[in-house]
Amino acid sequence: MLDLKAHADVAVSSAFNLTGPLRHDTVVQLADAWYPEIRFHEAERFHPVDFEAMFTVPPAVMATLDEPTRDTLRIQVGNSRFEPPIVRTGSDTVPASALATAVLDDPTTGAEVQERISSGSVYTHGGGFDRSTQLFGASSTVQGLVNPSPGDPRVPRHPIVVRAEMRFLYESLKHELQADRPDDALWGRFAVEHSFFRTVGGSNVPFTTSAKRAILQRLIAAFDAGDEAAQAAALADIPPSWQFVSRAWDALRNYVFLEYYFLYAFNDYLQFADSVFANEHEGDNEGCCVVFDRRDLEDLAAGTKTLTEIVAHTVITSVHEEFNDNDDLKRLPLDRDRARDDLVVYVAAGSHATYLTADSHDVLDFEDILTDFPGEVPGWAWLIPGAAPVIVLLLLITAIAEHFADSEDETSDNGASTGPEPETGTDPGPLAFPSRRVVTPLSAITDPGRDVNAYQAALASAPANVSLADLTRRAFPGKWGAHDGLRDHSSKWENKTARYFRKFVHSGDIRTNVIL
Amino acid sequence: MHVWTPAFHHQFLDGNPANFSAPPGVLTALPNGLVVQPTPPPDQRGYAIAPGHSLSYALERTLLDVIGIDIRLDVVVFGGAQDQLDVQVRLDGQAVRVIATFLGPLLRLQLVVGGTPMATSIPLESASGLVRLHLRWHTHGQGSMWVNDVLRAYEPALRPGLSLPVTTLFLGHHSAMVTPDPPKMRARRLTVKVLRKDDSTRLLDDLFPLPRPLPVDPECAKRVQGLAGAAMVEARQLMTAAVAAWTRRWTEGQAGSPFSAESVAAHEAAVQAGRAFIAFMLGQERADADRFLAEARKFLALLQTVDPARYTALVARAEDASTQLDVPCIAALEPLRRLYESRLTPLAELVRDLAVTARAPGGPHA
Repeated sequence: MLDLKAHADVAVSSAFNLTGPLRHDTVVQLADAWYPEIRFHEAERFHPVDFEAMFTVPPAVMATLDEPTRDTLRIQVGNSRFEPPIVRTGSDTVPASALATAVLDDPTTGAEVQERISSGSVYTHGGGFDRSTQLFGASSTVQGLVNPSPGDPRVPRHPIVVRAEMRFLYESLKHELQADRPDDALWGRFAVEHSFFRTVGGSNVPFTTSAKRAILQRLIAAFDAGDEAAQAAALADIPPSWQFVSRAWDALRNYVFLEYYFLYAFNDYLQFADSVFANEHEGDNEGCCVVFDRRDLEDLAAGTKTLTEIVAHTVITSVHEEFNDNDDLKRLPLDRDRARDDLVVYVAAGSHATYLTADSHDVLDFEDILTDFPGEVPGWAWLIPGAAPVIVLLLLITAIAEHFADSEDETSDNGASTGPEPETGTDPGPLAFPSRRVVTPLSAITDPGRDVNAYQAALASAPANVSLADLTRRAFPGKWGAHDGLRDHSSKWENKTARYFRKFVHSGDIRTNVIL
Repeated sequence: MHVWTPAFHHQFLDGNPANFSAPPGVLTALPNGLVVQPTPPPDQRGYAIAPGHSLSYALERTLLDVIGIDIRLDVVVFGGAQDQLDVQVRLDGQAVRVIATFLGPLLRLQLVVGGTPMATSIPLESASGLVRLHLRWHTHGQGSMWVNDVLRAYEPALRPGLSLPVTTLFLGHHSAMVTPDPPKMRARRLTVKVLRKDDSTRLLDDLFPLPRPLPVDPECAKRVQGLAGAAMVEARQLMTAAVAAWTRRWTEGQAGSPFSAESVAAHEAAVQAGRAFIAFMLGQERADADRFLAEARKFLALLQTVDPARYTALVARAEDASTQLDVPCIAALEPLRRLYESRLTPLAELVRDLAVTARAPGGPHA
């Protein structure tokens, strides 16, 4: 069960704070100032909404429909039919009425709902393309047509909402490594311990994950204490033929991520892809990350730099799964105006993979090339009973598969877009749509009234500027989608900090500290 | 899940030559090394292609048994009508070479695989601007050249049967001598993908992953893999014959198409069969199995017409190899078989139905 009060207590006892010296209101200013321009493909049906809309839109749309249509959208669970959305956990189904904001916001009823939620829960508003389209999908173009075309994109069905979250990397790793880390989506994960150690010459000496985390914990404690001897002692415990990756340590200490999350109600890549290797699922979490130099943000917090003197360092986007190793990264120009102009991301139709250029993009996957499969027969072929001519099948499929066209993502300059508010007196044009940023408060929890942290909503003395409903939705530890029985790639909501970090360490322009 | 796998992908998005994706390896950038330059304005982005300028990448692990190469190179050219500019992509030394030479508004494009060239000349609209090159070779003999997303040349017999290792990759100018002239060409994107001999078998494994290693007697495994490998060689020979029979050498400007009606029909049937098979593996729906069998029948019937005797021999050899899967030496798999029985049963039915289809694809049910 989800117990946000207990999680908040842990947050207080461990002084949970992911924004370093920056107060939440400054984070909001930065999130506004460096909000990327987001360009969607003209055929995009599902534009970003936020957690709140995933719960509030279905009831609102259902209220506008006639009864026969409403009935087609109800979700069958056993012998019962539910209005969307629902949250299922095993045989228990939390109905839409119990997921209303007022219910979640009330400490008593909210706690009752939390008791029915766990990491095994699944949110769904129907589990299929047609249902998602009826509830969330765009249906007509700017010119009022059914079919979109370049320059005449589909109009976003609901207000576009983008979530922003700032994470100082050093603080994020400290909270990742603490032993009593709560298991919810808000606390998140930053499991990057493997980035800090590498073998020299293919070592066979074992070096476990827990041992790596223990060394990092000691290193951080020693660094906080300014104890160089203790730092050296921690590093001395690295096993023979393994070495510390100073570049990762430099990235950790010197940089801050401002992550922008685009949450889509549905991934309908299947509608666009001319390939069998397509995906389709509810609840799609994508986005990008703007990197800042930590030194700049410390100066901003100290008042020695102003907001207009801050220049973002790098932008990173997420492209499909991290194991595909295909995320995009770009060092931004040093000049502030040029950096701002260069901060444009492109969302691929349907898949919502986020790129840095308008183009056709091969859907690449660097994972398989790292392993050989020499002369092997697929495992299942051994299990087919009888003397079935499996080899015939293998030969046939081989002949077919090698000639498949590759999957491609398409991004475009001719679709709907959103981004920073246009300057006064300028016309952004008919393809630009407004959007709202929701910045998750992740600043010092121990300073209520002065600073804001989402976990404060679960405390007995919750301040008025945070909401228990927002916290419940953001911390929801289950999957953000069910499936229609064929494809199920819906996943739990996870912050992408770790994958952005690994990409930054691999390809970023990283300021170097003294080598340890 | 992909069959062709990427080996190198660089978009030159900023001034960092090391901002790319690839399996582990070592990048060398000449003449300036891996120095990170400030990100230039968008119109000046890309890696300079000029005498003495190059990017080389050496993979830590050699890619073995490569039977297909796919290269996409976007270049922006700032040339004049009298300029002669060239860019080369080389894999594994000289084993695979792409040479693009711009003579004003004329592009001379060459693809050399294992010493055998194919080449064409393409008039461009202008001596300057973005040009997108796409070249693909497959061991069945197919060589294809696209420029700006349009097929410009096709070769049906480009080093059929070749398999090669790939360890290194080179992008740059043919001359290693640095000159003071500003570059007149920049690479905007380079993507290299490869197809290895067993990549498609891996895809089949991925569709129904099982815990590995399987408890298969090693001698038994070796025997079956040997039989399957031999059948695969024969299958590739038949596919090579089909490519030769169904397609022809062609360059832009020639009448007609390089692809016969049979090849178009076979390709369409293959694509539909592949789609249906994936859908079946994901969802175990009989309707998908039936769709697969229907499309596979079309494909096999066409393939059979290429060389009926060879086709019959191939099916016989494959069936013979398949019987080896059922010998007592894999008895240890019985618990695993029971565990996955509900999913295996419809797959076994599909395989049996396919066997019947494969023996007589043009038979009474065609």
